[in-house]
Amino acid sequence: MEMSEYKQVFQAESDEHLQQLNDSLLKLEQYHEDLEQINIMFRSAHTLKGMASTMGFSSIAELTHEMENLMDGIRNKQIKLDDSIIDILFECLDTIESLVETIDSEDDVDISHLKNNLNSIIENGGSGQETQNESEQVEKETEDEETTIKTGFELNIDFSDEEIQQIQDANQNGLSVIGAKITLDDSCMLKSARSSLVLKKISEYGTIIKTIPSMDDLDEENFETEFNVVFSTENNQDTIKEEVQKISEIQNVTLSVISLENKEPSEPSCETDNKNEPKTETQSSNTQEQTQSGQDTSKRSSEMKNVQSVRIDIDRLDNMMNLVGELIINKIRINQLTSDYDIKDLDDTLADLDRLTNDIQTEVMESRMVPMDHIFSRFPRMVRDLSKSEGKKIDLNIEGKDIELDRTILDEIGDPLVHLLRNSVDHGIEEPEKRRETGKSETGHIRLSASRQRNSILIEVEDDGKGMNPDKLRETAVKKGLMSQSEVDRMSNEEAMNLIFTPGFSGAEKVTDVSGRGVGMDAVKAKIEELGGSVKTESVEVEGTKIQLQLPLTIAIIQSILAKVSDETYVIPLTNVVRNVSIKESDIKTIKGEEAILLRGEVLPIVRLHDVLNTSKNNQQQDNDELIVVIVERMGKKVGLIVDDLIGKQEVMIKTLDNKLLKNTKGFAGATILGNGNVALILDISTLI
Amino acid sequence: MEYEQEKGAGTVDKNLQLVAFNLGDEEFGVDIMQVQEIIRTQEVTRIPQAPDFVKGVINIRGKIIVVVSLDKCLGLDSRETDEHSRIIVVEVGGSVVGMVVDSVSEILSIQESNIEPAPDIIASKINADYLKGVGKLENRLLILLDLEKILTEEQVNQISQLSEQQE
Repeated sequence: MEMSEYKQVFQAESDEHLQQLNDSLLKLEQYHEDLEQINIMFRSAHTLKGMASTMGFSSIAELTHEMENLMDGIRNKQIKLDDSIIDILFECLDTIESLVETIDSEDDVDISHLKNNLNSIIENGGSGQETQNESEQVEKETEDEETTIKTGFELNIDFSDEEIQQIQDANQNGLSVIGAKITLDDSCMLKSARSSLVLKKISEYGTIIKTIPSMDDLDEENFETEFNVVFSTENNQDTIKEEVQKISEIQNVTLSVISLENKEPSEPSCETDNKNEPKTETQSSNTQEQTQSGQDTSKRSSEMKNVQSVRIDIDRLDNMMNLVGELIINKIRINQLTSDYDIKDLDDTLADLDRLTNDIQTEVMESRMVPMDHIFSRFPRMVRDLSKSEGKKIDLNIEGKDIELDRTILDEIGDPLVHLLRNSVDHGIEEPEKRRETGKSETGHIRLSASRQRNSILIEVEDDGKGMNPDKLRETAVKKGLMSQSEVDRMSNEEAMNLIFTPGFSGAEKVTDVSGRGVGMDAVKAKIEELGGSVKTESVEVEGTKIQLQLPLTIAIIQSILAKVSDETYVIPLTNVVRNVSIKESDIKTIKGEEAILLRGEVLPIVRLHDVLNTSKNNQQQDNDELIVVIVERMGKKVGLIVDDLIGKQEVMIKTLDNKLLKNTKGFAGATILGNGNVALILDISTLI
Repeated sequence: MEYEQEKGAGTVDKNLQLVAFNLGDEEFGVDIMQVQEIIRTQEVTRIPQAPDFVKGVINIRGKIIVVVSLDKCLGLDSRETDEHSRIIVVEVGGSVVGMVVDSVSEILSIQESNIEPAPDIIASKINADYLKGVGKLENRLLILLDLEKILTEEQVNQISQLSEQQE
């Protein structure tokens, strides 16, 4: 593995631990007595420290070390937990997060003031002995090591002829050949990174002849905590031992001189009592090793069970999705080609193929699914920080963390959700005094929930804040010159609510650092619609606001309706479709210059796709008075699209039309390849009409 | 690109491989290095509201490729496609585009020294920016197109603006 890959692994795992720390700290903030959280945090911080020092990221290691001390003090009741300590801990987490992010320029971040803060808390809390305890422990550990060295060990190594030659050469040149047994800490996270550091250090002092296990196995982490290195050197054993021990997470280092013929030290260059290796020791150490290897095997089998997931590059999953799409297109083509023949065996085989492609599609889609928690988990912290800085009391309630969504979509909806939540905190929830005046509880509530509908995911952000006043929204729209007075007057209250999605509209009366810059809701809407979803707003003044985002489960393959307009075929995404109706030409009325029909007491605007798509006039219309209307939903409003014919429901694979020649062409979400190999365009309802 | 050493003179004259095609009454050439493939015309799916010179999209082995009418790009009179019509698929500026031409005649090589600036009579017909020059063969003149210029974004914007103004 390359160093950069280790870094990625390190960063990914650090993120998980930071998330854990953040979660626990948030809980701790609410219940200061919840010592279980301190324990969880302590463990996370400890692991983080271990990983960081393994990788040689000293700043992170130092900071987590200080945090550990502080938390230990809290755990032992030597330090009383208060809000200022929690704030400092939050600050530490943020600093570590930025350290992890910019791991290569770790030194650029100054951690000294945080360390000082932590230190002063620890000292004032009267936990001075704490550090002492630790150093005592360290001393004890060193003593342990000393004893091991005295016992010494015997290396049972089979050398190849080549290696024997190397050892002989080294001996002849006056170099000593040394076998080193290195034992890593049980808790060592990145064993191969650690081992490569050890090898690097040793090669600074000598030439490595052999490692057990082999270098490859070390790289692949095919070893437990222990490995052996044979090397030739002209340096003193002790120097090397000292240097190797400087690397952290090394539990033990034992060196012994190797001699080929008589297994006795050939070079008495070291005068310490490390002139060990008498054969008498062999037996005892062998048994020791045997027991240890016995343990190791049992440990390995338990570790095997743990490897149940594999990290896969998202590009690879995208490729798989594309291939599955091609497979489906080809399947449909074969189905069409064979529909003319009536061969039973062929039909059976095709039915099997159908089932298999469906299964593989589901599997690939599922493998791209990631739980909502990935983005939801950072919101409690964000809402906490925001509400604190604005002097509000807010309780964030998250539901549906386990709901899964395609990773591509999940990546994209993070920012819109951040925006919606910020809006709720900023403009929705009122200050505590104001809430009391209106008879609400001082603490505001925001509910963020995800739920799975049949073919889509529904995400709701709901607050019990001050809500929106449609008249005020109308007023703002006119004031900002977005609409004329007469235009807004004509709007229903529901439509007025949708004004917040107009570009350049920002309902904030005071502009704060987080929102109210007028780039808000229209960007949210644009992003959601780009993903093939829709946004809805409901708001009642004084009671609160609810924003609903409806999103498709996946974006690569969608359910759709194929419709004929003139002699062209178009794809209408099923997420947009409400239902189809059949009407007569005479049902169409003209209301305020716009065509519409009356359907179940509702006025439904009508759009003739012929006109929008400039298709050649079709003749069918004259023969047949019946018109087919596909009712679609667009920004919460229903619109009827007149088409010539419906071909049917079909799954289609979305291909993008990202050629820059089509940069200014709107109305299409992409294209797909039909069963006959022709291309059909996918309508993007929101930009088409 | 092939290099041929001329004996004695010691100078290097680049040999340019071209795909020669016909459009209207003229014969054109594009650098073969830009050409990915040449295919027969197939059913092109029209894109409503796209610029006039965009004919539509086609499916080439699962990839969706935008097809343009080269005659419209160059401001020439356009012809109906027939059995001789071909789509030359080229890669320009990182994107793949198909160009509809009346027919493809041959692949030939021409020495760079035989390429001259376009004479006025051609430059008056076609925007001079689109021309790389004229290749002189025994008794033919080959108009060499600068596809980057024709199919770049900037140009597209200009063309689409132009057509909007006309509307």
